[in-house]
Amino acid sequence: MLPVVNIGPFALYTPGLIFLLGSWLIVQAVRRAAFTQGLDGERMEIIVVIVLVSGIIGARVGYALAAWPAYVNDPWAFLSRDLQAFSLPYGIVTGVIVGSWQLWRQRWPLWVVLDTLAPGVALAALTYALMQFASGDGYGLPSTVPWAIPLWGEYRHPTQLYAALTALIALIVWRKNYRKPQPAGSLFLNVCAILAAGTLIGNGFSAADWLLPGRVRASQVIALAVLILIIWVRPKITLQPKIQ
Amino acid sequence: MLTGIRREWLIATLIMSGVSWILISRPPDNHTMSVSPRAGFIAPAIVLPQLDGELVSLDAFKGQVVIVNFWASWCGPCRAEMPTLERLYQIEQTRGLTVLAVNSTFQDDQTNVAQMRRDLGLSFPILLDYEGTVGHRYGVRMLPTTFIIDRQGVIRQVLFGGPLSEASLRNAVEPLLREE
Repeated sequence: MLPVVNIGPFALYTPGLIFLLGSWLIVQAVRRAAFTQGLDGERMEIIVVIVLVSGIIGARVGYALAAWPAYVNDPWAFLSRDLQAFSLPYGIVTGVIVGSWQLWRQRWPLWVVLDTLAPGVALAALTYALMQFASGDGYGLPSTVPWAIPLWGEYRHPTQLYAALTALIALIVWRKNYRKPQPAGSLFLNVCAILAAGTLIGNGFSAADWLLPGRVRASQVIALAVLILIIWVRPKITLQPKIQ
Repeated sequence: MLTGIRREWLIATLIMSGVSWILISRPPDNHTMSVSPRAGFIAPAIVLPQLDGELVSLDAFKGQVVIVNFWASWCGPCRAEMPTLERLYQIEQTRGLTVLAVNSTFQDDQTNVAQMRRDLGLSFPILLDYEGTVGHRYGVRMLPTTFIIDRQGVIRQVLFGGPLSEASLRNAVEPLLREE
């Protein structure tokens, strides 16, 4: 865990640095994947940047909406340098809405676009896992396994590293297959299936998860539902043509 | 390619094994809260002297919502957020809010601390961490770092960097002030 990196007199917030690096990698990976899929890579790059920026704005607006009484008294706080005042769920929802709208305007085939975004999804998962590892969030249950890490006063499952490993496997599988001829949508569904399987298994050791009634982890239930959906959807994409 | 029947079997197997794993891996119910400097854990102890030498302990504020702010007089963002902390302290003190400003005295000058207190008219307790032991115990690696502690002594939020806006501080403490 390393939430802050001290470089000379400067203290840099490590998860923020990882977010910036991850964002840059996502933009580059999606741009290249777009060219490979026969789409306009330059335009796709612009769209991904728009999505990232709108996600950040959405995260701040969402935070302000959730805490609106405080912002009514101090509206300038909306523009403050406060790094804490962001809401991740609002950011993701805003990014998805803006991104969907932008992509819909291009009239590109859905499954080809999703294949283009596949490396971005895997990199986003990797970025998030490493951000959590740096900040110490998303920690695991206490454990005596040899690879347990000391965190928050106990040896624990390195659940953030399990998530990072899953994302890396998804990236490797994508990299090995992205030039092979296959039905449009396969790359995206493969990446999502690996991430969902990793979440279903890996989060079984998480101590910091949102619990449903019966102490069942919400992330595992969602991951299982996504896996079943992928198996159900997969045969339907085989007839979709791919841009050459 | 999977045939329809094979896919149905795959889905059925996945559902059974997935649900089994979800149930088997449920987190234990007998979770005891330990002491650690992060959200969801009991706040580590603080016993430090003030500028007048009087010792102040975090334990004495059990039952109150406590903002523990680590700072130094040479740190610009720390200085910038002090008036916000003071304003919040003045307004919410009666509802059970306390601010403990832990000065990293091992890397600061006590005279500057006293001067800053006078200049900014700070009324909340300023604690002097001469050896840096409390800062170390709280894993402080940047200034300012702010811990929001609830009435039970549990850390509810850790805010890195600053200056913090009044809005985000209010957002952090308001729900805790409403708790019994």
